[in-house]
Amino acid sequence: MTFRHPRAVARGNTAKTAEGIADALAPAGDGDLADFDPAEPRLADSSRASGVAAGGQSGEPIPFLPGISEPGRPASSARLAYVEVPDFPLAAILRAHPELQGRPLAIVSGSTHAVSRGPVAQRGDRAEGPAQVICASVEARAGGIVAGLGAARARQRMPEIVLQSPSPDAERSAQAAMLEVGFAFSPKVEDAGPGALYLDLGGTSGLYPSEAVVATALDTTLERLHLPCRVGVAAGKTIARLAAREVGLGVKVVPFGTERSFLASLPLALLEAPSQITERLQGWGIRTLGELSALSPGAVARRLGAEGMRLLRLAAGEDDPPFVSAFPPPLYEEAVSFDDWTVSTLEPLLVALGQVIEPLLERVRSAGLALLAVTVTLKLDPRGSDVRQLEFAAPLAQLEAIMDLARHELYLRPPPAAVASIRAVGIPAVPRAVQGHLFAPPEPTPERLAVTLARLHALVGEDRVGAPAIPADKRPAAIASLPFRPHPVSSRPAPGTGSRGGPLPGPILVARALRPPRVIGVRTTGDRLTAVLLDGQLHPARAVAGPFKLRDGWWTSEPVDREDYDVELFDGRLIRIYHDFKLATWFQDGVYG
Amino acid sequence: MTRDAFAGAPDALFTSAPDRLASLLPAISGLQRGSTLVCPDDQLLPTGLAGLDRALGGGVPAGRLTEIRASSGGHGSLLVSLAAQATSRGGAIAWIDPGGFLDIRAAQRAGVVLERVLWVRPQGVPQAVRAADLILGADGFGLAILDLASLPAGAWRTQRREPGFRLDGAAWNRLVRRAQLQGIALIVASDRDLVPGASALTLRVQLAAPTWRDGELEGASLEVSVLRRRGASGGFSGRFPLSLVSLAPA
Repeated sequence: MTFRHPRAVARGNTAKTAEGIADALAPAGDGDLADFDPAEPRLADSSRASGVAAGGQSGEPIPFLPGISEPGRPASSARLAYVEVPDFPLAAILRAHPELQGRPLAIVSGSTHAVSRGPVAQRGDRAEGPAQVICASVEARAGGIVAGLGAARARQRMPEIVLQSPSPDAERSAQAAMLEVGFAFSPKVEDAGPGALYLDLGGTSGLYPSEAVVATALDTTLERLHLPCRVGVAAGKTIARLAAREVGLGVKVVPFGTERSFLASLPLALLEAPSQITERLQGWGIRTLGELSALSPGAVARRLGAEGMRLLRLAAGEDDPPFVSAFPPPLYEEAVSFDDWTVSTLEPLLVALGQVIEPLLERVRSAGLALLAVTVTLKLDPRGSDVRQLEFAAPLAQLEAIMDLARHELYLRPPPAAVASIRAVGIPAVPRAVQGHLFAPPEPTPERLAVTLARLHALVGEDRVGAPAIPADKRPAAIASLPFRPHPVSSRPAPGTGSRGGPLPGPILVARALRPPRVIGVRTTGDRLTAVLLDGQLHPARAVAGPFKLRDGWWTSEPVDREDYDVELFDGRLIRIYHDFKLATWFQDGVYG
Repeated sequence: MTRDAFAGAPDALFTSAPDRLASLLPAISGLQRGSTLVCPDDQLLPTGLAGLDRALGGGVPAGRLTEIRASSGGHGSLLVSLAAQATSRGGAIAWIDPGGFLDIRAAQRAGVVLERVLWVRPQGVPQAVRAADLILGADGFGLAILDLASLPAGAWRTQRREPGFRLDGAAWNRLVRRAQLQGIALIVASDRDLVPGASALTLRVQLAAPTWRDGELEGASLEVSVLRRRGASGGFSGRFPLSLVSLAPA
């Protein structure tokens, strides 16, 4: 890729360009800095700032430098939002373990070893050794715990502090949650690394009255997911990022056309440059990005090398890598691991499962969806896993209902061993809106119905709960059932309209099926059936209808070949019997009434 | 729209409008006078036996327990008729059937909308009562049928094996309270006196007088007596013809 400076092109000064590039790429030497005059670049910049006319007056060609544009002029006019969760490892752990909210917590790095200290130590307390604090909660910071402090020192300063190492599982889940929120606002989202993302706000003007409203909505949504963030909106990635970092937590919008003035006043520290370079720049009296961008690129390249050039580009508001949209996350997943401990009883396991399901559900809800099923994988200690599939009769968006089903599932079949970690993958679905008809009876609420069905499954077994269906088997006592999902009526049903849409038949005589059929005996006189042997007693038949031949499934291994009869006994009973030719046996499979 | 919007229009426009609209009604599909709309009575669920419904003031009461005692059959046909009436109105029903007696094809031919039936087949009476308790705790069901009639002796014996379960007055009162809260008509069919004092309506049914024609069973009669009806005096007894559903597959 060729970087061309717009003004250099305008001048057509190609002869000096090669020299300028060589100038810029020359390695910086310490000796050069000794005689570096901060005034020199400013003078050079003042000539630059005056544009073509100034350059023409001085006669000095402006170096054709790669990637350096006019300060504060964005590389593109695309409006981007930068969303960042400060202290992301800390936020991810607080999201996964909400019980730690409000407690002094510090995330430590380095080689660690567990130190049992207090009730939270089981969760993976880390301390001592070379471990250092990466970030700390507000409560911990109030006690003097700051980044870079040794873990042992932190414990000394604040004995009640909870020290914890970063959790890759929690960070992965939190990052996925951020991306989902991003995709809920814009189809173009770039994953900018742990705790950060960019959104292309193009096209959102029709949905939101202003960029500030979009940014505030982003901020609010992530706050609801326990991910407090800062949002910057500007024309370009760098300016948006700097805008976000200018505010501690909250929203900052840089209106189009004001980028230069915005950047000029920003403190140098926002660039997060290496401390050595920052110190050098401060030694030259550079305090703001405006002052930095006024430096001569050539001089900066000579003295600070490639890193200095990068900082110069950033100070000018240029984007380093261009915006690249990511693909939407394919699934909703949350996980939690228990580090140095395991869960061996059901109630604590359910509490931990709730802490996994809750953020999962929040993510699904933020996309306007609900959960149709959740696959819970329990990693067992010391090895193996136990996978549970929680399927709901209707998409659920209520945590209580889902946990109710999970409780039933786990109480019915407890895990065979202690659980070391939990991973939950949700299958989202569009929530079922029940719009009952004004004049029709009320429908079962999907959520409550799902819970009721799950409890019934647990009580009597899944195969014994459902909606009856017409079986393919033509035998009268055959059974078929489907999942019970009554569809709401779309129009007012006319009373007296039956299952086939026509008028209801009058009251009919139905048989009650006997499952399984009972073996009986019969007495015949010639071809005529005269009595039935039931329960060891012979009952003379008053009237008999039949036979009704039933042949079915002759192509299968279980063909049906039988003759059915309706029989009225002298004691008043009306029964349905049949002769199975294959078994050469008589059965009763129904009684009328 | 107010009349002011038609300032200057002749009065005849207003006086004749209802009549003109009325003349248009037959031509406009789905449009009818408000006065002709019949709001379904939420309090009573028809049984499908016209004479019985008249005697009961419309049907069995919602939010109450109705007991159907059947010593020699007949209750199956009445239950199916109730289910057909409830589902044909767009309601969902629950059918708790520990004996697994429901004849699916016959129910469909009787007009039961099968997809609106939650069919639960518990194993034994304790499970059946617990299932009823769960269903009565859910909303949206208009009718719950607990069919405990003609159960084999083993279904009742399981009761003794469950120490925490007692099918006594307190258990029935709990079911009645839940049905009342949700407005569900709870029907309990049994061949014994199960729910003393808990039912708002007690019916006794009996199958009688089968009719035959040309060597085939044509139907029978269902004798229904109102044994008890809370808040009403005077009994009722009637006989209702039932026609047979053909055994031939649909």
